[in-house]
Amino acid sequence: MRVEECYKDMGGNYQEALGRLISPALVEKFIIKFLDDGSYEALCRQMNAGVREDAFKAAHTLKGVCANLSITKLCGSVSELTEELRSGDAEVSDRARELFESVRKDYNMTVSTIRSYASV
Amino acid sequence: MSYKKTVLIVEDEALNREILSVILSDTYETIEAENGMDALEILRAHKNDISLILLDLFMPVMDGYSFLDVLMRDKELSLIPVIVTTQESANRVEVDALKHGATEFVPKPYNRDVILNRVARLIKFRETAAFINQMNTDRLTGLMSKDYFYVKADEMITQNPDKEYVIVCTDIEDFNLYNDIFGYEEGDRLLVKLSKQIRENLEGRGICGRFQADKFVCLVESDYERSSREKFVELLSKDQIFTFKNVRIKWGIYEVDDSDISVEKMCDRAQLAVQSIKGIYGKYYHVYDDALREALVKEKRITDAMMGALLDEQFVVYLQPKYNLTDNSMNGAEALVRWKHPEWGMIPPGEFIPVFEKNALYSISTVMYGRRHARLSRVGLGMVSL
Repeated sequence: MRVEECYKDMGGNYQEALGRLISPALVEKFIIKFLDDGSYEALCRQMNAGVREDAFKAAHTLKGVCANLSITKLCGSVSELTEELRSGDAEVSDRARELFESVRKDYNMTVSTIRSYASV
Repeated sequence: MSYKKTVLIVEDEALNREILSVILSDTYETIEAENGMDALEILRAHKNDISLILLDLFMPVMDGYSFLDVLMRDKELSLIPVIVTTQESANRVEVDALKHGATEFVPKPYNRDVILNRVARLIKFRETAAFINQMNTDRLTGLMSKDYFYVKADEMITQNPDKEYVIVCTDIEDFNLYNDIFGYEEGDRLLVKLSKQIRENLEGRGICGRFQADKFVCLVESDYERSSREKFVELLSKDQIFTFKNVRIKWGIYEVDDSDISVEKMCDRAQLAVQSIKGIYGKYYHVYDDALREALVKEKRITDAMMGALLDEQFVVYLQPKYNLTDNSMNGAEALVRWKHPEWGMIPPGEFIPVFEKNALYSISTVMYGRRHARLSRVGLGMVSL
């Protein structure tokens, strides 16, 4: 797997991830693990349930994972959603739902990029 | 092969846990927990093996704050340093975590160098503190060590010039014999019991250290109508610890009246006071005073001068004849010895014989006077027995 190119295509910061994990093999291992990570599904569930605070926690977790893997583009959209969910009414706002659409788009792009590199 | 220290990672997100493990794995062993509850269980089982905790704040089941609260209530667990991992840039979160007992922070996303440096620094700091604590504490009784007692006592005296203090020290009569008869374990039990008793009787009004074997030294505030020394000793005697298993404990007391004297010297004086009543039946405590000091100085002078005096033959023997009443013949003489010191003049035997006896010089002097007796026989007194 050409992991550095994968990072470039999904809008990530490969050097930053490498600085954290030191070996390219470990960066690859973790980026593949991200495909099975449950935090995006958890966010989807909480957005559907519509309770702002729970959705905030889920977004916060996904943001943390993206940041640690230096998936910068996805991290950016999740970060915006997290800030929208941080305070406000008990229910998830319309603005948050709009932002969640960007997250969905970026997430799908990210996982399909990783999959395409992983299968090579 | 070097031994790796163990870090407990408490984080609900599996990927984050694994990344932390990878970062730490070159230097440390890691144990992972998904939430605070699991972490506490692990800690209870391995508390002595875990050098540091890396803690996420937002977790299901038991979050980081609740975990910290439980941790800090536990005397032993609260000593383990905790680094909180946070992706919140808000100061409030950090301050809250600190209030709950966290030691440090590392930001998310993880920075390898920051994490490794902070973990290493905190573990080292904690170990140094633990080492110092060990150095400051007597292992058997948990009381202060000698050096630490000196430092703390000095602090108390200098920081509270208005308060009056006494130094009290112990001596267990024939403690070596006690160890010998009942065994060292029983001896240790006696020391622990005594240390507990002393601590209770101090009632927070002083500090106590164990200097060696059966030597306990306390610095006690004296704010009673009667002097606290009497009160202190009375309290101990009330509990019959004086005669615990037929063991007699004696106390030497020094009243701190001059804070310019070093604490070491004060303790020495309390020791001198207790030594002065060693072997004296029915006397359980003695207060150091100038008379004791003078007596000790005098004794020291005699000790210093006695060997030279023997060699110089400064001792004069007076022979008091003994007559047989039936035939009026002299059949012996009682030898009376006086020390004729060139500067101090004539010294009666009551002053120097006990010192000689203490210093094993008595037998030497006996031998020397035996020789003189032989010489006396030769100058014409004939064979008289002395």
